[in-house]
Amino acid sequence: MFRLSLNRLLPWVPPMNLKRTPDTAELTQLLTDWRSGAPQALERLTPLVYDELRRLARGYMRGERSEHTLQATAVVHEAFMRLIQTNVSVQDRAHLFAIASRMMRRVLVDHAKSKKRGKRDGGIREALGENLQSGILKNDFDIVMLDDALESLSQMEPRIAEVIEMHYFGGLTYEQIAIALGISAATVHRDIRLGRAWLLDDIAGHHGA
Amino acid sequence: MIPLERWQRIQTLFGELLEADEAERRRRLAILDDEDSDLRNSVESLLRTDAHAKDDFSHAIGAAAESLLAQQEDRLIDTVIGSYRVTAILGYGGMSTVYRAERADAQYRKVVAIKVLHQAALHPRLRSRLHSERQILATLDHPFIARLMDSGDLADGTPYLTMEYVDGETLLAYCDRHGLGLARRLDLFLKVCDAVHFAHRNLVVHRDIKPANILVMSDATPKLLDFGIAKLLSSESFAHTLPVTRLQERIMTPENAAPEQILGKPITTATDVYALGVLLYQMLTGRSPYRLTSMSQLQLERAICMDDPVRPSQIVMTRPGGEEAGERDRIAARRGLSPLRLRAELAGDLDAIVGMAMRKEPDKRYPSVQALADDIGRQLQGRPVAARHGDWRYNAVKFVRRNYAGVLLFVGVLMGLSAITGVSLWQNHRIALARDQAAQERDRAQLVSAFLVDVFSQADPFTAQGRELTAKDLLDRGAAKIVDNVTLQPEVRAQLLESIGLAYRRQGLTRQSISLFERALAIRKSEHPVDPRRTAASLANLATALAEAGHFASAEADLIEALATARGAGEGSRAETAAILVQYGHLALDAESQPDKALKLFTEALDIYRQRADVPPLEVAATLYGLSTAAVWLGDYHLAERYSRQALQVYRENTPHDYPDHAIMMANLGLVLTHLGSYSEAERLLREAFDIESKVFGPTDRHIAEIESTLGTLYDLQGDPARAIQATEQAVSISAQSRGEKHYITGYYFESLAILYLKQGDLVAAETNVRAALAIYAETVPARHLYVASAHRLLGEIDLRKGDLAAAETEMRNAVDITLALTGPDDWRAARALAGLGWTLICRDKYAEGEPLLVAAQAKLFTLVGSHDEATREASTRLAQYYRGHHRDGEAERVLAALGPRNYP
Repeated sequence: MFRLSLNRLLPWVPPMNLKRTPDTAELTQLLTDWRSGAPQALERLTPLVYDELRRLARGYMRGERSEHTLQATAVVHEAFMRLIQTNVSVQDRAHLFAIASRMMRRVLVDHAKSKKRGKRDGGIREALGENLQSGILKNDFDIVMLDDALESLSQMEPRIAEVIEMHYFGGLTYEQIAIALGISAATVHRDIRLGRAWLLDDIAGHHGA
Repeated sequence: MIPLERWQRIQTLFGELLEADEAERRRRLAILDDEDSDLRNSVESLLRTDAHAKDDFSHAIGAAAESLLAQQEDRLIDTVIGSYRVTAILGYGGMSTVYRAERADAQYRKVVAIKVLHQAALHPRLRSRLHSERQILATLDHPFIARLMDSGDLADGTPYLTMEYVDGETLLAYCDRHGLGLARRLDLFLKVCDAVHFAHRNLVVHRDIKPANILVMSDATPKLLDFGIAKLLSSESFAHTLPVTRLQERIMTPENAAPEQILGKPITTATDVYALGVLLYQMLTGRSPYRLTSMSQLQLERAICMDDPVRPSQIVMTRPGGEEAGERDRIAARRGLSPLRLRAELAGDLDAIVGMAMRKEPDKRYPSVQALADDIGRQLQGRPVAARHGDWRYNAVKFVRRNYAGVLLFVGVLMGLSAITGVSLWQNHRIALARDQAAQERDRAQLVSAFLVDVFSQADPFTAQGRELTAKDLLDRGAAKIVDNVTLQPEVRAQLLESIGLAYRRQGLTRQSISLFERALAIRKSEHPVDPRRTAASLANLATALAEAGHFASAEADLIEALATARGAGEGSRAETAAILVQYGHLALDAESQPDKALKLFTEALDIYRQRADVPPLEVAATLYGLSTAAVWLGDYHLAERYSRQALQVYRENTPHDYPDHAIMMANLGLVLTHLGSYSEAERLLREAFDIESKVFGPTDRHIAEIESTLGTLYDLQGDPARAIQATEQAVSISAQSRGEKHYITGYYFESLAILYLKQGDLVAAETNVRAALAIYAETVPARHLYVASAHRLLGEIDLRKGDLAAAETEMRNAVDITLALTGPDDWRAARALAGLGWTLICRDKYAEGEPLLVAAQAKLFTLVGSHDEATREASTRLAQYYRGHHRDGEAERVLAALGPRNYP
């Protein structure tokens, strides 16, 4: 689906015949069910996300330390793309992007929270292993804090929160988000910068009570 | 929670201020502060956070993903696969995980690598074929191929492959750690070729040759991993899954993929030839062919399919954006060479070999890996390589394909010259028969030649975008065919000669261009009747080439003649007149260092253009550029900035981004802004111009020298003398290569270097460089030239510091005489020279003469260039020192106080 929208930029890529396999159809259904409030759908979705993530590489992540976590993020985005390799209508697409981004967020945050619970003494920094400390310490915040801040933002300004979610958890480009939500890329750009600044301020405690 | 109304205001303000520049932002925030300081604080905090935000979220998300992944994949540890016990994880790939395993029965210790394929990576239909494929792979028995020993399925049906365990490091790491020179790298590469060729003979294509797939053991034996595995995982029979598979396979780096792999076309042994070409590129240059700047995956794929890679010899001279300074030198050093030497080693044969292996079209590459290896063998033995044979034809065809209009260049020039000859002979014949018809044919021939002129302009680097190799070849051939071809109609011949001359000139091949322009001019002058417009244009062309070569006197004579000829032709040739005036203006600066004269000439040209409706915008821009240059000479940087920005704007609107003149404009604005203290914008412009120009002209072009020199000034003003000296040394060396060691501009760079060394207190280096500059000037510019004056003043300063006061006075007087003669007293250079002389006289205890000179010059500098200029500061400090030494502390204080805030000793 991404590929199709990008084909307009790359006329020489042969049009691909994305086959709708039972897996992806089922996946779409699960995503839709989950969105409409069937909690058991998440139970079935989560292993699929894990599976995708597992299949994707850690082998690619042997570069510089600072690149490390960024490449892991790229893995998340690849997994995301594969999850939504499915043939849905344009109207449904925005919906699906949004749900899949939300799910990716859910899976990662749940994982981080369970780690935190499991290691009460060291917290997540300990749990993630020494490899990752640099990444975490540099930011002074983790995905759980980001999740909380995003939650506050969505109460105030749901669209910006959704744009942020799609960009950071779904790995969608500004243009893809713009097409999906029917807003201009410039608006997406502004939303992301405002949202990001607000979230960072929120995490740093600048907004006060 | 912020109230909705307030949030909306924050949102609006943030959006608006994001677009605003720094000053505007401050202004708006200040206004806001009076109105609602809380709101101001929120918005300001958001803007500040925004400015510093990096990949924070991605890092947080990545950390969670990492942790999630870390939990995976260890479930097989300590289990038994085949007859081996899994002991550790060696690595992860998109398609598989590789484990280290040891023989379980402990009869003898044997270590293997087991690759467990991820279930989902396999297409169900492929599964059935897996077994037979594995057997073929198992037969690949070669010392440089990691052996496939066994294969099977785990209990849950997951397929695995047991392979020879290779204890080594990856190819590029090995080469670099051992500091292998080019010859040893080629030897190692030949071994890799040997292995690939062996596989090809056994009908196995690797499909994924890349540095990470080749390990080198401590005894220098390479081992290729994963032979044919890629095929098991992505068969063209499942073309619709290919894009997905491709994403998986090459999540971050498809840089070694061949165009046909990206396009989903059939994959053959030629695909491995391509990948070997990329590998060779990486081994030789330490860089990847398509990762000059950070590209997205899509950009990268597009580049692989459409763009020619930068030639190896060229890329080792470049410094891609974002790369650490000095990386270029380190890369060369790991090969035991300097960057220049490395460039020389790669230029020619190795460039051609890599280029031929990496051609986009599979059937245009080496027909086999053996053929590639043979060519490298020939290169190592110093014999002619096959890649360069027929290279010209290949490149020529490509050149034509790239420039559609240029297709006819071949038709018109290389093959069709005889046709024109035919036209003109035929025409001569007709003249005898029927004059009217002959006139018609003449018009037609005119069209042909205009057409050829157009076509030839394609061969100049401005349109060929740096592929000067083919262009030069074409020019040489074109020139050879035209120069002595007396059967050509003179008019046509002159025009062709000029076209080629112009193209030569833009290539920096000044000598060749002068010779062609001279021939063209001779033809123009011998015609009856003489066409004044064409003759004037011809003269101007020649003059510009002569000036570039440093033959100023002949250049000026020709320009004066051109101007008279064009003016004599009346109203019809106003545009030609203006163009000549612009060239004359530049000559007035370069040859005579007379900015006032230049300013007048440029202004006159601009007036002519302004009266006309149909002036091409670039002509106006060129004039504005001239005005800006003249303003720089005059020291009026604000005026220069205005003209420079206008000129840049015209280029921005009318030319593609990487049009060379556009880059030259950027560099010019960068220079002006450097002097105005806007360092960050200046550096950004200079870097961008640097990238474009090194792409278009190559890394050792005179334009690059100019940018390096400006960067030198920039670093110096920013207080980084080491970098300043490094950049200026670079300017000298590039200029010596491109313009020649005896070119006045090379001399100018030497002088800049001398100034930098002088500031560092290195008198010996300063004197060496300034004397080098003077020696060049003596042969290239008139004795009365500002560069000469400036060099004498510098020598005077050096003498002062050496304590040789008498010599200093001689030099200073020399500088003052020359400068005053050229500029008159109301120029900052004259003031600076006078200040130098005044101080020197004071040092020699000639107070009566020295003091008034220094006082007047200091005041003049203050007015002309302001208190922040280095010349003003130096003169002021010296004056204060003099006053103090004569117990006139009050006056000293006043002089220093006027200097303003900057602390001065």
